[in-house]
Amino acid sequence: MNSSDAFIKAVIWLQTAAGLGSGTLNRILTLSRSAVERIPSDPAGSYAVVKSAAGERTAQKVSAAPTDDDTYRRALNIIAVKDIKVVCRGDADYPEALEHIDNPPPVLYTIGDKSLMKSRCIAVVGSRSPTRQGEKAAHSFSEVLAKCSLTIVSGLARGIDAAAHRAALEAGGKTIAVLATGVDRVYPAENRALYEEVAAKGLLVSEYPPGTDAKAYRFPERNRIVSGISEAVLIPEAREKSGALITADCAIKQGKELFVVPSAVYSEHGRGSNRLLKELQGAMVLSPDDILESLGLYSAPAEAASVMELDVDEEKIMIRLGLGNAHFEELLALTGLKVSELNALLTGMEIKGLIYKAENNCYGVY
Amino acid sequence: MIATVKSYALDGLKGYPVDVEVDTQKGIASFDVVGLPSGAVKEARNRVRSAIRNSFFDFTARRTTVNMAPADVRKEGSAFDFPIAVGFLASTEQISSARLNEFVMLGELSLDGSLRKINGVLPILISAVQAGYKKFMIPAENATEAAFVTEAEVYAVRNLSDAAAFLGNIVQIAPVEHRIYSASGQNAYGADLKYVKGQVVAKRALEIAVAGGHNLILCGQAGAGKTMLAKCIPSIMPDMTFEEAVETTKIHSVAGILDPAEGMIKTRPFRTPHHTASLFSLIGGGSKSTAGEVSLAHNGVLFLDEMPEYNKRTLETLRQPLEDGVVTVTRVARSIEYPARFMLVASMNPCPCGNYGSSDPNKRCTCTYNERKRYIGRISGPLLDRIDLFVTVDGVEYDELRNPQHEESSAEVRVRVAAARDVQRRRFAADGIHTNAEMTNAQIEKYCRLDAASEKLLAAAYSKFGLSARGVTRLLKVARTIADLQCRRDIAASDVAEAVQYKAKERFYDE
Repeated sequence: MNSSDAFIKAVIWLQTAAGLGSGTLNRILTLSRSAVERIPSDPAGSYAVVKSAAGERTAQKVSAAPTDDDTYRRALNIIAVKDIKVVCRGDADYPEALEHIDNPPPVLYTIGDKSLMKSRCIAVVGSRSPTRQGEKAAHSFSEVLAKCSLTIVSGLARGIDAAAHRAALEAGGKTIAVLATGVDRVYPAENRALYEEVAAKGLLVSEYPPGTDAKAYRFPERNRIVSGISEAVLIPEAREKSGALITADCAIKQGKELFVVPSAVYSEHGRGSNRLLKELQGAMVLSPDDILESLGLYSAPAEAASVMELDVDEEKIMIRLGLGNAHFEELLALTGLKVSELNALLTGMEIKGLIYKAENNCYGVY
Repeated sequence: MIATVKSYALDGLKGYPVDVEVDTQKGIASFDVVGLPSGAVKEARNRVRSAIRNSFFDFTARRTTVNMAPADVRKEGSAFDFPIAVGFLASTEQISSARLNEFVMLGELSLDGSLRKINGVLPILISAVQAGYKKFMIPAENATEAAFVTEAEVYAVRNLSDAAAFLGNIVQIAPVEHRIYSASGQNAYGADLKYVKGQVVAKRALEIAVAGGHNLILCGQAGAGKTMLAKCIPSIMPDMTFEEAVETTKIHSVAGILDPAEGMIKTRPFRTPHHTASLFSLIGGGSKSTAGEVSLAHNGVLFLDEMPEYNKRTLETLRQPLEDGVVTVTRVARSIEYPARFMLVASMNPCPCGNYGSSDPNKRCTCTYNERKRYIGRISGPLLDRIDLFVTVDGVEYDELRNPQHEESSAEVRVRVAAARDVQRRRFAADGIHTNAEMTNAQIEKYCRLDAASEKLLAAAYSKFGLSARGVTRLLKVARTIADLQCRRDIAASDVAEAVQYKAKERFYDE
């Protein structure tokens, strides 16, 4: 059973006009549905009812709220215009998994395929400024997991988040973006194209009423939903103070599986995830198969790795780059080629996907 | 009586004849200059009066009228002092007017009667010779510059007395000896690639860029050596031909920055306007429609150090000269076209703080993603379209810096560049362009045919690196130049592959 329009409007009114957060709203929603529906039309008269459920201060706040409010009307308007589907706690569409976490979101605003919330989900979150290795891990892990029909959940942020969403979409899999703004907002703006694609092929979801702007405190709050709807959380790379570590904390509190990809020991970019690994040594994963195995899924049979023919110089370069990135001039001395020849050779190797061009004329191997 | 003296004035780089008529009558003392004189021309009367008196001629009060025909064009500059003075002397019959019409006279007067140098002698002489004038009297200081116009008979005059004696056939002045142009072959800027240690990637890029006339961006951290590399570019450019030297000298002459001892620009200009440069100083214009830096860099290099620091609107105005090789400067009454065919070399930091991508822990980048994106975004897409090579310049390690290893000199590189330019000159003989960088799409289709292997490589690069259509165009031009450097008729797969290394690396650029 899903909520009536009047009930949905009442919930939105409580969020916008009365400015209630998820905690107090959850308490009010313990009232009967008809009682809740009556509140917006007669805030002052509802004082006693609200007080009985949520205490005196909330009751004062609600009874003082205007019946007609700009943010309220704006939210209703956006919901109608953008065809946003609203799912309340207790609805048939509301994901079971969220009922079991601390402070479940009382209401979810969604654009896209809302049935995805009930599929098997795994969260992939991490650094907003990842290294190439981190981004690569996010991409290749997500790709495999999506192909094994897991839904990839992330936060539409720059870096690891975007890489995870993209990998899932490119693999033809499903993905959910949990936003810390209203579901109608694109943050960061540069991810607009990704936002549109997720809306079309996956699901955008937010607990905040449409029209809500990005505020720093909403991001950690949002992270409990990311881990909450997922069976497990994968962290490909996280800095010392990464928001991904908050998601990891939520996952641990919620009793979810946590998987972490190790980073190089002196890497600034992987310090947070490495610290997490030190505390939870069982969380380490080296390939998507480790995750699939632990979730009781079988990996799709891997394509037979094509054996690539390397010539002498390519071989030399591959062996050297295996030890770490190297500068163009070092490779020049190593191979004894001319500048033009080495340039051509390196391009060939880049195209074959063997190496990549790093900063400052250095080259690295994936 | 009336005396008429021929003189010349400049409209941009083109000269036009001006008749200076001087009439003296009895009457109330006055000295009027008519025929749209500008400030400096009006002031001529004061200089003329003193110069005549100090040359021991008579300047008794008379009613004097000076007319400059055509009367409807504004006359600028101080080159009319000398013709006005000579006209006055002839009009008052202090000198013979018999030979006046033989000469075109130019020169500024000093109060003691000596002639000072003027700007724009070379373009004036070239225009005047084309218009049929043969004999010129000019200040002695401008003689070197005039000596290169072999069709002209130039008399270098030191002062008004000499001029009077010469016109009166009392003394003879020998015409200036003609000089034959030879490129200096020397490097005027003192930079040479042999002093640049390491940097093989960037050096190779410079060679390709100069060989094909490609515009170039050097991107690297502060102190990596971008400016030093850029300064080496003139040293590997081919010598200027006489025609090129004349074109460039004309502009420098009009701008008044020509060295009178040299008389001719013999090395390719290397212009480095500061990033606070105004639109007019870069492009040209202003109240006197002067030539801007883009024109002063004609046939040479325009180096914009720290390109994103320039005013964005100023940068955008570079698009016309980059596209057409000329710049049109318009002012109230007329518009002037200055040639502006230059190689654009820009340097930039990878981010506002200059440390992005540094592996040195003491130089950590503190810029945010958006700051970086905004910084790089200050160079607009259409402008980037005109830049074919992107080079990362990284710092040199200390032991490399002190390494006595032999580095190739600019002279050696220049030989290869010259050969590649020759190949292009022959190829484009019928196309009216000089270098690969100037190729249109039709010409690319014609001259950049790829064999199957190269085509396959290009397709792979296209999908692997997410190239844009314009990215492919740039790539093909550069590949053509690399093939020309190897003296190959057809582009090989390795040429395309090498060109890929010099494409824009930052994904911001290709978006």
